[in-house]
Amino acid sequence: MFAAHQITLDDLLAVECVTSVPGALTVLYLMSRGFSFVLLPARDRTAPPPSVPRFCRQRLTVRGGLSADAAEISLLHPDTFLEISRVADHEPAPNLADRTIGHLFLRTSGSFGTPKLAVFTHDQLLANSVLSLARTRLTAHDRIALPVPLPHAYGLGAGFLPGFAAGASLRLIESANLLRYLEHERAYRPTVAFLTPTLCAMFSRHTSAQDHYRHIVVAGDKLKRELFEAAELRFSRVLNLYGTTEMGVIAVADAARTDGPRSATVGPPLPGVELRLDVPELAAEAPTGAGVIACRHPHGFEGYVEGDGRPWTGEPPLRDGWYRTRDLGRLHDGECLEVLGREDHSVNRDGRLVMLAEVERAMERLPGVERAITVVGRETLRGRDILAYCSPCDGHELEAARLRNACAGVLPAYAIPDQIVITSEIPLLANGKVDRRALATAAAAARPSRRPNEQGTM
Amino acid sequence: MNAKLTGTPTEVSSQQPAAIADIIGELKRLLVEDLDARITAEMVTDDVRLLESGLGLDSIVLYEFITLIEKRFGFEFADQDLGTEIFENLTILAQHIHTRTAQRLRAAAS
Repeated sequence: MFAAHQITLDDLLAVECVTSVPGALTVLYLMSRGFSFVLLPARDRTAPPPSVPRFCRQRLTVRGGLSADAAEISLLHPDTFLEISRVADHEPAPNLADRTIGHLFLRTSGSFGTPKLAVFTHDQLLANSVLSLARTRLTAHDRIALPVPLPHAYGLGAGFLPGFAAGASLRLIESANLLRYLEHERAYRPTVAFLTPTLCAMFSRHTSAQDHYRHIVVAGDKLKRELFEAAELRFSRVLNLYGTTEMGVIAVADAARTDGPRSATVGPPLPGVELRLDVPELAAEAPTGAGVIACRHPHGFEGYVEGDGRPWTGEPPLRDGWYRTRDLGRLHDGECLEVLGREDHSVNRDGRLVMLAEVERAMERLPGVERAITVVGRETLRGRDILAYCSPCDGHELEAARLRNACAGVLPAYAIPDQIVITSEIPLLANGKVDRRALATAAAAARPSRRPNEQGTM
Repeated sequence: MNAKLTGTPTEVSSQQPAAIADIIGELKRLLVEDLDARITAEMVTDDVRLLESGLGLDSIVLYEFITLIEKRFGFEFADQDLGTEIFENLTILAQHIHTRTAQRLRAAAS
């Protein structure tokens, strides 16, 4: 099939990958043959299709298994699940000439534009992946449920590749939701599952214990204690994991240990991974004892390239091998890492990092908006609520509902503030900076949420 | 893995009892008014698919919908009852809710 499309090892490929066996086979094939490729999320009806970087010559699309014609898919015939097309505006990137073989480009999150790409060699990614086995203790006897996306660092590097390397059985669950997960759970009786906090909250709605589980692994924002306890009743044990696209898994709790601060922390760093806690930029606003987590990893990424393949022009992400995560953390007993959030006014929403400063800048470009200040509100299944305080330009009147609709034109759906408050005066501190703490306090006092059905804790 | 249709909903809708029609009406209201999912009344018909090719409810909206149903109709879905079949469309879902609420009423009466 590759020969028919004149694909050679020198071609950089873009792969739109669904979380399915055909998706996994495609990734394994490309890695085993040494192809360099960019991993893109599967197309989803609710979002525009992912843009294919122009430096890729061909686009490979793995067909979803939930469509009406899914029955035609045969693993023996790649043409039943793989579509190959030329990238129309292809333009080679000269700076990538030495990376056309054996590299993987992973999209990072955190900006609304074209995301920058983290570059790994296949060898480093594989070495990175198996490192976590020392803690997750996956074996050939495990049945692993993977309802998290395969084309992301967590699904691929923490779930799929280690499970595959351990010889475990794997169940890839496409477009996972509560209904589909429960169906797979009944049929497959997993011993291990890799979840996000949102999936964990949804699946722990009833705490009926399922005794086939050994443990689940959860990555992302820290679970509240009540949810951690409910999840331990249902899944027998919860292993908190911490990692980044750039460094892969940094720390994860040990499946064999029952002691220690398991609910609050993500365990000690993996063998060979060094941690450092730097003084935060806004030290006064950080929790006691917290520092910015910097990490040196024996099998981390090589560096960034821009989303279009051009050389990265931002700050060098690695200094002496150290990568500054911008996450705040502190150590318990000098060993176990607790992750406390971000140092840079950003929140996780729908699994994507939203920089609040970017939301503010986008809103300030809307007609009639003089100033927009955002603060984070309570926790919901989608992440933290975003509240925006907006002051009108002189001579303009703003209306909250209309402003919120206008946001849809300048912000992706997951970054639109949940609530907008129109105010003529934004509170300022003596030094002239916005008093965000006063706004957050005011926001917390004036709830009724737009969504009364949501539960902050579960 | 596949959410295949188990019945033909259009056959049912022409002869559904008033109770089912009421439940469908209430479910439509929950979808359009109570969920923040940009679903309009025109999009919601008795037999539109709730997942994928139909309304395409994402995992969180679907979860919120399930929670709202439980609150509104006063029962909890057992995990073993939850699957893609009963959430195929509003007609099938309303029949399931009708059965569950009728059971509850009978249990309360006896």
